[in-house]
Amino acid sequence: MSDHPHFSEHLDFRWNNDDGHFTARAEVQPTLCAPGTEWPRAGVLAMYADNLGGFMCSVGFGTPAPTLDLSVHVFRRPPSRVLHLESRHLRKGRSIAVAETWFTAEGEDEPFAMAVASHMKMGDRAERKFSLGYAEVRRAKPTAILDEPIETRAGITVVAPATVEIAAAPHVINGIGTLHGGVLALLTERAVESAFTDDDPHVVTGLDVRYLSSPRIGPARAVANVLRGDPTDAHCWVEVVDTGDGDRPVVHAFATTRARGAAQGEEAP
Amino acid sequence: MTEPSPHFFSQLGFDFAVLPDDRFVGTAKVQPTLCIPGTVVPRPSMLATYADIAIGFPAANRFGFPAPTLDLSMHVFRTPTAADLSMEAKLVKVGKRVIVGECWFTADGEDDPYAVCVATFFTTAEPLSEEWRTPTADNPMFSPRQDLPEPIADRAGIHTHAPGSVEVQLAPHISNGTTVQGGIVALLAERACESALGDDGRHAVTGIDLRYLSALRAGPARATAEPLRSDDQGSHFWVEITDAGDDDRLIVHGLVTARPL
Repeated sequence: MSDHPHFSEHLDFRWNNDDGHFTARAEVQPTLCAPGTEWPRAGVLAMYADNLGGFMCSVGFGTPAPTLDLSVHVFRRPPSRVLHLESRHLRKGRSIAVAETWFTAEGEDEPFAMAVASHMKMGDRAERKFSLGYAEVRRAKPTAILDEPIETRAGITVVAPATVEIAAAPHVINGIGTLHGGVLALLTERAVESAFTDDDPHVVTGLDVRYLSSPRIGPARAVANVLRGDPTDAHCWVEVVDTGDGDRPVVHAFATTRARGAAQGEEAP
Repeated sequence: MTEPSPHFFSQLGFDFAVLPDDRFVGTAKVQPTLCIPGTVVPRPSMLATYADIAIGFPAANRFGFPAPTLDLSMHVFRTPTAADLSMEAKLVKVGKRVIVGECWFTADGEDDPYAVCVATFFTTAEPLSEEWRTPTADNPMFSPRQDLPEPIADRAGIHTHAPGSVEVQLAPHISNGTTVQGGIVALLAERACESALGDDGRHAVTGIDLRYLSALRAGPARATAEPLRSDDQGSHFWVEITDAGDDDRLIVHGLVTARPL
């Protein structure tokens, strides 16, 4: 059994709910950034957005609110690793809510990234009632230093170029016992990164993730296919399956990348 | 009296079939007026229209309920060599309340797809009437095929309200029976971004990620594009579409990407 702290304890995720106004502050550790860069991983931003927007929707429903889909778009590299987040409802339906989350770097007014996610209400049985206490427990602990890359700590392994796997472990699951949506986003990001050679590394700047089902047995395997690539950027398609359950589809995702050289050369305004 | 405009579906050059296993296969003869001006590339919003139908019909069949679109992401990742195309859609998630489908587009004469759309549909509480059948390509909605001699944005009635801001009124030829058809909403977002880029003809929208939040009731629908980033590689825009006649009530949010042609 894993004795690692839950991955969320490395996120320095200081969230606040001010009468339904959900905000957060986080200092992103270097091990949460894309390799060799100061770009916070798109998968890590997905974790923040999935948590903050997910809490907000869960509070609204009064039940846990699994994520149906999540898009993250990073427009530019933030000049600071201290981030401020703000979520708001775009849609509050009876069974489906849509949350947007904007990311702004400390000292700036304009956002550098945003995420949009749809969340679905679970059945209203008593045992599925949502309590922010669950999230409070995680927040109550001081941020744990992560001394290795988040993908290593999560247990993601490269099994072949463009193919990566992860097994469900206590430190990477969500409140309903399956792989956390942000971890699955990180898995797709790693599959994309591993599709490129060390001579031509890419940074993922956009993820459009559709959660089709929960991996029940595992490991979850992500395979990336480069749809188009040129010296500056690329588009990729990623499929995640539950290899222990007849390769049942778990996630489909579309990813956008920038070549690391181009990404690193970008000047923040 | 002026002849009413035919529904824009009849100008899509659409031929298709819904297969028993929920797959949808189709072809389209894409008129130049449905393409990005000066190119043979179908507008992403028109691809979104095909996909909305290609996923939406099987979704409604499966639910037995009308299936409004919850969100739609359109990604054009390569420049096709021909406007005419084939498409294949399938449902990748069939839940009790939501269905997710994807639709891949391949240009005539090519083997590999150049665009993909992923969309989510949800159920309504109103069962389909017993007479409802999945429309076929010879349905009056799509047939007979009509020529479109002017750009689709003009025919839809989209006009520029201010740089980066465009409007459209709900009209029968762009309606889905309740509100503005989702593909025309995508076109409105696309046009807002083109306007924000100065309608310079040197950039093209390549990605549209839309969330449909509510229906247009009063109108006009007004799309406003705000640039989030712009450089040699391309641009990101945040687009909000509101019901200008209903206190600017938000009806659609979107993230749109554009690249130099």
